[in-house]
Amino acid sequence: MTDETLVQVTDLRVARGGFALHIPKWTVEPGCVVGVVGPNGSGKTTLLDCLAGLIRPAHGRVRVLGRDPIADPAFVRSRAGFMSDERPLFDLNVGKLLQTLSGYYATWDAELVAHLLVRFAVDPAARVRELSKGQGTCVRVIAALAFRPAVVVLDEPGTGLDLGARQALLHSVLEIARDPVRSVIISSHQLTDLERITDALLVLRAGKVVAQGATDSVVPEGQSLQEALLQLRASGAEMSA
Amino acid sequence: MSATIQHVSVVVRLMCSTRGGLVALLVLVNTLPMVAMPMFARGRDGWFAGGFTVDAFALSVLFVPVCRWALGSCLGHRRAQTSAALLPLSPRQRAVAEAIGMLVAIAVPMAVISAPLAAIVGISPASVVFWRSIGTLLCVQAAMALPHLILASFDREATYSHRLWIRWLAGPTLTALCLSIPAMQSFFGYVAVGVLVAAAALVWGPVAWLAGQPRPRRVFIAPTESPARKGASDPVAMLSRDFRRGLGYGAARGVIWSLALVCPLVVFRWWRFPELAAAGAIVIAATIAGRYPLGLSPRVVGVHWVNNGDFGRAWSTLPIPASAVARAVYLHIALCSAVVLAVCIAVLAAAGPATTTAGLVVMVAGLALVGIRTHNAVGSVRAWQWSWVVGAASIGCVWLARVGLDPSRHTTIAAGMVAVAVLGAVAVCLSPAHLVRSPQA
Repeated sequence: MTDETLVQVTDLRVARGGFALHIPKWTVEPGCVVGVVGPNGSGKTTLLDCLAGLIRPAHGRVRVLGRDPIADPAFVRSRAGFMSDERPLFDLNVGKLLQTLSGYYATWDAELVAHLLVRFAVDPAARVRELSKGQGTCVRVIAALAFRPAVVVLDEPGTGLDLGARQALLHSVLEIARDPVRSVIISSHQLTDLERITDALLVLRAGKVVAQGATDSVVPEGQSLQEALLQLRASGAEMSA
Repeated sequence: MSATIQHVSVVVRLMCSTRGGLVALLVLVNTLPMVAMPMFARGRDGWFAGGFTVDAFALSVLFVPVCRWALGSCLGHRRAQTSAALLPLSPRQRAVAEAIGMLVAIAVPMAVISAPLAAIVGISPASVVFWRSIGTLLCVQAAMALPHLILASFDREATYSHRLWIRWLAGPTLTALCLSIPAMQSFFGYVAVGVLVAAAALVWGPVAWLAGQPRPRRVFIAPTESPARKGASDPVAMLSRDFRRGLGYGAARGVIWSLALVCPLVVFRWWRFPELAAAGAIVIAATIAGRYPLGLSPRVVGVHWVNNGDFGRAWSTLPIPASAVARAVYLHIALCSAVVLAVCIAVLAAAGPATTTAGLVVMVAGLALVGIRTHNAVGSVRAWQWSWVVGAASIGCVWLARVGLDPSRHTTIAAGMVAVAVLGAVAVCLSPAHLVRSPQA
């Protein structure tokens, strides 16, 4: 772990009803794409919400860019972009929505926004409520990338995206990853896409870390990510038995 | 046909068994007679005497959101929340079924409530006068509510949601017809107008030519940043700028709407008191301004399910403390409501005891709306509880004032109620941490 570590999670414990998430230790270094994978209900969104400061951990330490997202949300959110498919959007047209958001970020890049609108083929004159599910996801991704955040956290960004939009998303993520001081954390069920772009993986199951580390170390030679996850799942089931 | 009847019974059942439906029913059962009662002839028990006035105009416009909300409360406010739009019924069938269901759900409790009330004032529930009064009242109410209910039903069809502006025309159209054509001042004339307007809404409502033309595809233009928004280094300062902008934007929008609604009254000289028209215009403007905290509609889109507090959640990943957003929303709504309440007090003080009940009822509604709106916007449980406490206390005050106090003291009570609301607003704004939904432990 270095001083430049973008995300640092230590002994994180979150309890939500009957569900408990426990992450003993997890870090995200600059210049990489980290995938968070696992079955439904494994705690991916809970972990990402902790990074955004939307959930207060019961125990443990979360640091994003060296700050506690609960104690210093303004600092963290002005430097880290969070995208979730379930985050509501204001009922404006897309251009107006992005313009409204622009005022809250010192680093908002209008040129980048224009570029992303073209890349994701989103009409800035369209009303947000008239957008399809996939187009809404694109707008959320654009809003999360528009201020060139140091950390981009994408929760299920592939939901509802067509082939073109998925390519655009992968393109944007890889562009960020090429920057040595920025990182992307991405949670998704699109395992093929994840395998192509991630440098490291965090595999969760029922709130526990099943595997973590460089993608090459989690996915054995000659296997796909899907096969590796199925294998991990089977070994976990054996262990519980 | 059986599907339509089934839908009528479902609407009645939902109105009478869901919490939202019961609240909606309570509101409708209370508001509809308020409009219809002045139409009865003085000294001739139970007879309709026309007398459609400016008050009826104002209240008939208020029916629009009430009816829409009532239907939404029991059937789901949006398409995503309800499966009603997917039922094997045409939009017209569904609109008719929902309107009939609502009317049945309103009529039965009203008749049941009216019997003991009539007995208190010395009219036997078994007498002809009682049943004639109830029958007349129900027919008048049905005629008045029918167009609104049908349009409210169409509102919930996503296909027709782009022509929602039509619903605002139903009330003024009905009123304008009743005020302009002498024959409509009779009972049958009035009912005929109501049914005809409803029929027009039913026939023309789902027709394509009423729909707004789809906007032509524009040439792509990247959104430009205004100099004021460029490079904001302090998000909180930007929020306070947006707060002020929201007040200005809301006020401008409110003034335009109030002018549009009040101008016909002024032009055709359909008012008895010019001051009331002015007061009404200010109340409409402030009420509409209150709907746009931070210059935005509290309605948000894109969530899989709709919860109170979604507006607040839309801000959750921006670099602004949630408490600052909640405080801005609360202050915006409280300021706009303060204008409404101040105007009501002024009218009350000027007009005297004659308008006491109506004025107090409007104030109760205003006070409760502050809490309900804030709750809807930021998901504040405190605001929700506060609105119920204030609403219940205010209703108690109204009844106490009516029963036990001299009418000259009603204005004092009204001022006291406003003071309570303002103090509450100050108290809540001083402790914003309590207003917001805290991160889950």
